[in-house]
Amino acid sequence: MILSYLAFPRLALSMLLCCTVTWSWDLFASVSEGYTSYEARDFNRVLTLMEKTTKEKGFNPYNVSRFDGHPQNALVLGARQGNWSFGLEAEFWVEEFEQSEVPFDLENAERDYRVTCENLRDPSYASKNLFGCIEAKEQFRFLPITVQAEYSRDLGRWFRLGAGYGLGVLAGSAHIEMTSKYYGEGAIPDDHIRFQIWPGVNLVQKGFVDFEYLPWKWLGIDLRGGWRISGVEGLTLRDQEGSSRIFSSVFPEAKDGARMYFQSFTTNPEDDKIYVGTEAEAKAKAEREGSRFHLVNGDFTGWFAALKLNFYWRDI
Amino acid sequence: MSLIRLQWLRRNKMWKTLPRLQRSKKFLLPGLSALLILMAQACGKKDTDFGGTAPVIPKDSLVKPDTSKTLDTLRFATLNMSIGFPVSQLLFTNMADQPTAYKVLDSLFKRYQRTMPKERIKGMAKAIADLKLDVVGLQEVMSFTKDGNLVDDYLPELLQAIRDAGGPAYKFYSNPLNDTLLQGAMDGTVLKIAFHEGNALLVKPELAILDSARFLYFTLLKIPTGENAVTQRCLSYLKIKSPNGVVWQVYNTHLEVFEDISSSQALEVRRIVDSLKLRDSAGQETAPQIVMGDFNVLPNTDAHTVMQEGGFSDTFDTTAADPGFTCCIAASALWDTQAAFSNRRIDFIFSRHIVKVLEHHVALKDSLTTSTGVGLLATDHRAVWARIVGQ
Repeated sequence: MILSYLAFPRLALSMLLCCTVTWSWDLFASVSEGYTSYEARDFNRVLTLMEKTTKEKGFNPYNVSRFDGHPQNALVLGARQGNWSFGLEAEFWVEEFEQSEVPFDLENAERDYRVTCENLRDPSYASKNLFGCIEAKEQFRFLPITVQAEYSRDLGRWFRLGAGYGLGVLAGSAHIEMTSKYYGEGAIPDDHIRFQIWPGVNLVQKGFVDFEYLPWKWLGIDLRGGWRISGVEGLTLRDQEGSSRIFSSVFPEAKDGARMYFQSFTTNPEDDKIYVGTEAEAKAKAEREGSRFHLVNGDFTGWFAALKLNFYWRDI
Repeated sequence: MSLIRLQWLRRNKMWKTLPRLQRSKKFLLPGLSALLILMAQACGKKDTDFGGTAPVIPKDSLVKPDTSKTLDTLRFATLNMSIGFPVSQLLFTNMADQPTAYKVLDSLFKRYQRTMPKERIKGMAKAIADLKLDVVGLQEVMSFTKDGNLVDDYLPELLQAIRDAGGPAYKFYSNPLNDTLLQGAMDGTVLKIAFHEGNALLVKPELAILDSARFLYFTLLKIPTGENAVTQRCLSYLKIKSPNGVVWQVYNTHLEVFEDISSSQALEVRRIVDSLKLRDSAGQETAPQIVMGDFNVLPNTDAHTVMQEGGFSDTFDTTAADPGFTCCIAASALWDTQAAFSNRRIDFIFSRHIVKVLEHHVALKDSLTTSTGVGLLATDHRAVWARIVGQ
């Protein structure tokens, strides 16, 4: 390596000067907290259609609220030289949803009133039907990782304004766990199922502007806002453990490798249904029945805004 | 940039390289990302959307009568006879445990008996005879056996009861489905229950049956009680000829309760009916087509919309004389004449290539009184009938 540098003395010398003598680097670490908003049109349709599907299959009627954003936390490690800074940002959002005592009763499907597990456990109710209650848990991880470059200019002693761009991958996954308890005389044993919903690794890009206040040399308080372009191209069910009679009743084709689709039968989108099955099964159905399939994707493109704290180690 | 470094770069004529590099970097990342996006989209798009909804066919149900041909008016009806017990309960029953299975089957049999099938059949037979129906599509036509002894066989009993009520000796086309054998044992006593249910078409003796077929749907509800267990559903077909010489194509079906499955099955109905269309040498349709049954969906939704987009008209739409509610008695408690009725319309008579619908009504609205003076509901649905002119 050294010998090859000697063969190109100008380049070797320039690199030496850049890195050691004249190009002093600042290192920085940032933490930020904010909010990110997106449309997630397919995800919201899933929620709406799931509301219909579960009601049709004996669960309580409920209304969904829009899923259009989440708190954004991020950590950046990077280096700054002159007006340029380069960093690696990991944005993370981990959320656990837990729903306990979700009742279902297939015999009273499509009802417009609500029942509770307490109702179902009542001996007078028990004499009529078999039914159950579900304990459901979902862990959702949203993890975009981007390499970022930013150009900024100082505005006097206290302020700095910059604009940057990030490119990376949108990783993450969701784990769903369901424990079902079946009630009534002669009911099947309780069961448990767990699986992962894997979104794959998808491209993410960010454009952003920073307005930073520098009260001290080692600390900057930064307002960051920008636009993220990202999407999840599909959701795949994998690592299934256990089984569940009620889950299989609602999604009979769900198994490892199955993906989530919207299935259209008519020109009216209100008639669409959720289909969970493998791509091969979905294609066979489309061919045989004359229905249309659309792979559920996640459009996480949208704005974000955050308050950042930048910690600097100068002239390293 | 420091002064020393600039001087060094200038001296070595390398200063030009830096802006060039900076310029190229400015375009490198966006350029690379644009390329990646294009590649990702090119790779990912191909399997995200596939298939297509069947073409929307404009309704052509009313054809202009041809004066050179004979007109014919027939009375069509659809009736779900009700099997009398909730099968879905078996889904969550631990049938592997023999004493549990025994208790459940015993309770199921007692519940079944409580609906007094023989009395109900008489009530349905009287309605069919009184309405002078030409073609009747029946669903949930049950045959029930306990410990090897036939308890009820709806179809022959209904045919006999119609004759007893002064009606004609209907011809029939039977499509039994869902053959089921269940067994339980407790304290050395074994209880075996066997049943099947399905569709049937009744045709007045004056009408000739020219052709028949049964089409089991590809899309069937999978039941998670065993490997390859499904709920069988089918489309029954008859080509009939009236004494006036008019040929009719008649279909009868009972679609799945769950709308994702029933929509698929309705698409299959459209395909089958289209493939069997009778045409003359010029390619013009020649026979009126009637598709009736229990579709298990509300009007203008799901399977009903599938049929409408296939060019079928709901005979209710033009001539209904009542709200047309056909479904259903709460929990199929047929012995309870005060049981709530959910006021839904899920049983339909669709038509295509007909001349006119003259009437549309529901029947079996009221409870009947058995020979022992007990009030009873004939079925958990109501019958739908329509008078249709064809050519």
